[in-house]
Amino acid sequence: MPFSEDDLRAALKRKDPGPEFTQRVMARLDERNAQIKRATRSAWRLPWLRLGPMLAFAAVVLVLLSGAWVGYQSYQQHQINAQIRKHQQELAEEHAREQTILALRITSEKLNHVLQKVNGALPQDVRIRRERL
Amino acid sequence: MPDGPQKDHISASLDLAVQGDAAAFAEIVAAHQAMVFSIALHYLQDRSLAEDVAQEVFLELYQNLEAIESAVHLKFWLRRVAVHRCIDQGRRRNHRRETALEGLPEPAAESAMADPALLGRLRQTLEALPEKQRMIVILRYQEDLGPEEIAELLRMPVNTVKSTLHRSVEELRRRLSRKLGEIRYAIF
Repeated sequence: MPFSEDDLRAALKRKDPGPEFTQRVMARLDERNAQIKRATRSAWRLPWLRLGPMLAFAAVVLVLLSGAWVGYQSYQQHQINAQIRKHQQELAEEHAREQTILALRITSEKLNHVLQKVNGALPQDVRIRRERL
Repeated sequence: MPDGPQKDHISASLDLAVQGDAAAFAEIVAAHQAMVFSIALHYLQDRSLAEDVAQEVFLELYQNLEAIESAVHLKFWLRRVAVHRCIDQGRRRNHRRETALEGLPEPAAESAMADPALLGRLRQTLEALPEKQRMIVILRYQEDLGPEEIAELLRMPVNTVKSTLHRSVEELRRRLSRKLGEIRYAIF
């Protein structure tokens, strides 16, 4: 079917959506601006709401970490004290052994001295018999 | 195309709108609503959908007002965004139509100049063209743009626009003849 370019232009002529169109666009714009404002306001409040549980969680974590740290420190102190006590005990034992050895040595010397004295006081034949024995 | 004083007026409104003047923005909308709405209407063939797309285009404009440099740039920007939103909407809609174009009130001058039935059939036939072809025809005959301007808007080579336009008009003639043949066959 023949048609001219003018027919096409006429068919595709601009159509106005009506005077209310601008008002509808402005109403949507106002609505969106209000939504943005509401979202901004709630976004300002929201972090605090979200921060509450986060803060509580952080506090719990902090308490647990502090407890663990104090416990660890106490355990370390206990270990050090035990080592010191053990060392002191070892020193005391060593000292006691040395004292015992010294006492035995003194006793031995005393006994030898007494023995020599005893040997010097005995008669000749008893000494000879003893030497033989 | 707007003449000199109108361009100056739009430029002044643009400056005011950038500063947050709602009335100035409303003037910009009023000055360009027919262009944006008609691109959407002729492309989508659905009045409510076209109005929705046109509103979205102007809301997008409001968000990008600071990027608009001049009245000419504003017009180019509106056409480009309208074209892309229409193509997106057309794909989403998946060829579902709610309101026929014939239901629209036509300007009185149109029926005086040409056969309203022919114009209606032309619009209906245009709907059957592929999206790029349809948009090129709309930009050429609604917006009276040259192939270079269409090429810039659609980011296509000029020669492709020219050949597509020629092919589209031929396709329209062929489809319209076939449609009329079917009508005649049905009557007789």
